[in-house]
Amino acid sequence: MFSEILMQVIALDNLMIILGCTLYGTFVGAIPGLTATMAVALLVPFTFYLDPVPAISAIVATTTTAIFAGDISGTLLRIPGTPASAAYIDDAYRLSKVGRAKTSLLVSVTTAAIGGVVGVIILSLLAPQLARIAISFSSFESFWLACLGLTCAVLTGHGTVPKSLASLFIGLAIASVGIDIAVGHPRFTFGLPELLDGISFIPAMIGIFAFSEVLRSVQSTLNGQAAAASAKEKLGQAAARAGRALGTYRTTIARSSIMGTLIGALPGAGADIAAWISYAVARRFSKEPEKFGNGHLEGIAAGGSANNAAIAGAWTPSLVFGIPGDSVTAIAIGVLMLKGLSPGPRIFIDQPELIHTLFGSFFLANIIMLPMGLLAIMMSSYILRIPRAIMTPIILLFSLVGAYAINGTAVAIWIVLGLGITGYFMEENGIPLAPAILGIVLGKIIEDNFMVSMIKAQGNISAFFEREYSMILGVATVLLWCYLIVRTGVELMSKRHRNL
Amino acid sequence: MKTKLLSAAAALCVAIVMSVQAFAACDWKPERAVTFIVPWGAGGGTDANSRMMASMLSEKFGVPFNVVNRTGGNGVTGHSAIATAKPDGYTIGAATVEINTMHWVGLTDLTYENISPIALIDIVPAGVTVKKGSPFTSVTELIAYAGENPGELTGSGTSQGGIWHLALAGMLQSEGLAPDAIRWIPSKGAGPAMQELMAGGVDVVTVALSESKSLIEQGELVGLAYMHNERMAALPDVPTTKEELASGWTLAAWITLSGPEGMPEDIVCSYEAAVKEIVGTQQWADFKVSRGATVVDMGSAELIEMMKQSDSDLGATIKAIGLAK
Amino acid sequence: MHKEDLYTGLILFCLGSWIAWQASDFPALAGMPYGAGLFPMIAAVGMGVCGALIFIGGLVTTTADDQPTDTPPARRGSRRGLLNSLACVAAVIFYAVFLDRLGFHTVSFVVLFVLFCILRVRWWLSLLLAVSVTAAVHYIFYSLLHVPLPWGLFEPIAW
Repeated sequence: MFSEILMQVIALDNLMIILGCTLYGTFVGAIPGLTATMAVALLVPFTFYLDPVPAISAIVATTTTAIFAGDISGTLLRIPGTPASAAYIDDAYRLSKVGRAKTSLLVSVTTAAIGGVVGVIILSLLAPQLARIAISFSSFESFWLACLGLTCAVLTGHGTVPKSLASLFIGLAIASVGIDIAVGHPRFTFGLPELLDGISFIPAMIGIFAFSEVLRSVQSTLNGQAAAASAKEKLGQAAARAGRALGTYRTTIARSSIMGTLIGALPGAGADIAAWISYAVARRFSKEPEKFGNGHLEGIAAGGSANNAAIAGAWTPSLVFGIPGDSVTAIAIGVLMLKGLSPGPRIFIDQPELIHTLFGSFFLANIIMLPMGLLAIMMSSYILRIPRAIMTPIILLFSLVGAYAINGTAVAIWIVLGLGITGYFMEENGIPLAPAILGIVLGKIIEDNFMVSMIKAQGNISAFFEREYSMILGVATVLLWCYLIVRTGVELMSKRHRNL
Repeated sequence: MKTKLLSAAAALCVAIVMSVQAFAACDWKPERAVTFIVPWGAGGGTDANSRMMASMLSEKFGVPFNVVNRTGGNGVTGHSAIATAKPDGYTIGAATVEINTMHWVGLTDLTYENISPIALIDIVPAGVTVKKGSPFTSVTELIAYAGENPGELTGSGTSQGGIWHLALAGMLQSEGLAPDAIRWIPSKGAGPAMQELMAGGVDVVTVALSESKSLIEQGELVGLAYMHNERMAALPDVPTTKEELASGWTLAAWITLSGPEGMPEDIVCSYEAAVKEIVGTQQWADFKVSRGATVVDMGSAELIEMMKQSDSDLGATIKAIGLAK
Repeated sequence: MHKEDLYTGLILFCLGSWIAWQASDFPALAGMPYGAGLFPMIAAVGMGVCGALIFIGGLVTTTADDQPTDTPPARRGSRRGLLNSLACVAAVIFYAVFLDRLGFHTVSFVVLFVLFCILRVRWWLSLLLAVSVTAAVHYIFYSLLHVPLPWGLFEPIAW
């Protein structure tokens, strides 16, 4: 059977499709505003003409590379591709500013590939068992998981505690725009139907990170010495540096890949939370936690590997039960059904070759991503040579069109403007941006799951600790909060002593 | 005699209407990319149907049909975008059953009169689905238990006041129970609702049976009833509510292809003809089978009638279950 | 005393209070003491408290504690820099207001050309770049990736 699967995976047409789709995924992912979901949705008409295996390979290859490619615009232009990559964008962008863009991107692409490969190995060994856990997640468990993710904001933020928290609450306030799930009341929508669904995170991220940076960069003298230095970074030196980093942080990478897959498999916002939790954990166990957020390769390694591992993880509930983990897998399920295959426990028994071929394609896509990513890194680094006076307006235009592309309304551009100015003033006053993004991404999830749980339990709070997984997650979260409160207290006390 | 005369007159009217339609040249063709608005998210049933239709329309007309998911506000955002676009044929969209429910629950002022219906694409009847190992083996048992223990069971499927909520509350109400005898738990759509059901968070979901079809086939979920007149070909063992319930309650969502308000007749009928051709193809039939649905073929005039009827029926249900505003 | 923190704290506190005031009017769930207003309220109270803390922190912090941040102080107060930033803001406002009316091509060209000129790129290069970047964005988004972009003025010649 093994050779059969191998033949299917490396069959010429399948190989060509994976190759083409990694190229396509890199291209789409690197363009600001265009998401992996959009890349996959655009593929759907083409999959009509493909056999099931190449069709799924195409989707898998596209998402895998699109998620990594988001790091390219994140590192070079400070426009993160996904909420997950926002976890380490400060590290990546700062490295790029001091002339280490290639190093940072090489670490990104290799750890992404490692994460993806680890993810697929775990998936092929444990998918049914993992899916059993994922499927027992109700709103209670999802609520605690999102809380755990949110707590990481405080762990990852590099401002003072009140400022990190302020950023988080700004994010949560932004997330409360739109119709609420419990009552259906339009909040802070100012009568605009476009705001009923809340503020989508792509324009929000473009505004907070990219536009605020545009505002800042046009203020300084426009000769861009740092950028030129980055373009001159020798590939060989970058590769050596990246290689050393991979060796040094191998435990972090391994841990993040495994955690990424497991958390990514959970419903709700698994994949988005995975990178944040891995980043926070990496910082906690790091020998040099103070470097995180200031251009540290370990953070990129942790987030980058967890990011792509979570993509693999997200396939678990989809493949095993046909319940999509995110919109990409939802589209993939549609494509599978179109081919007369319905995902579910039986697919593992009835069509094991298909499942294993899929895993094989996943594996292969992650390998092919390496040379493809390298090519993209070399090509994209050229944009650092372009003078900033020319580059800045172009970045601005791409940001605006990218934001507009999400759902074709000018409201997205107002969001970019509003949040960009907010982000600018936040940074000017030492308020970190990352917790706000996490607040925007997780705020809705936390609220929805909390409200749904409360309606189910008819207002009985103890219901949050009644179910098995819910109790474990809940107790873990509460303990973490206690620890944080105690730590803050201790810090405050020692600071006061010092001041006295 | 009188009825005969009437029917003759009616036939004449139909003939005139048809000849008027025939008179409109119906030879309009898009010359550049068309925007295809979907009011629901990527990966859902409406999205899948729309993307398939868009790609086949694009093949037919030779210009791209670009699908845009304008989600939000439980359908308000996307439907407003379809209704208020320029009626030049370069923006069309998939208006769904919510165009007839949203205005009753006070979400928006839009009604089916604010769009130009072109053709029906899909009919999606609700189902009554429980988890494997549920104590209920039929929909009558479920309703009897809910009648004796009102408020104990929970159901889910979509937002508060959404179409699957109407399916459940309407069914309970028409069987003489309080509409909230099974409490509604809002969810972000069919997928999350089924996740809740699998996780034991709710007791029953009333999402489209086609959505839960694959999990029913796998034996993870049990389909108790299909809210339709006829059984689903893909799941012939699931009885219909028409057979099972005294009230004969049925409810189906639907997906249409529609244009903005005031779209010229020749554009409407050109699209109508194109859709008619598409739904007749083998490719479309295969697509429908894969989703456990049947091919529907209904043109503009008939669709408008159906929407009118559906609007008053849904309005009556919404008022009866106390959700009207 | 840390002046910037005083302002930041004050603004956050006011914003928090405004959101809380708005959220207190949101309807509650039937039979429960909270509803749509709960989460905005939590965010608002959090913002307000953090604002207050930052304000107090700003009051008590001595200038000796005032660690210089990594932002170089040299560029502060540059009038030209401020004007550049304002130009970017104005460009985005122009883009948002006129995108649907004038169409993607016109507004993109105008925004690019004006910003290039403001950033002191030579006028002929600005013109060339504005035209070619607009064309490139059109090609990538509209032609390759099927993103609908509004044509506006150019609708008669749209393809």
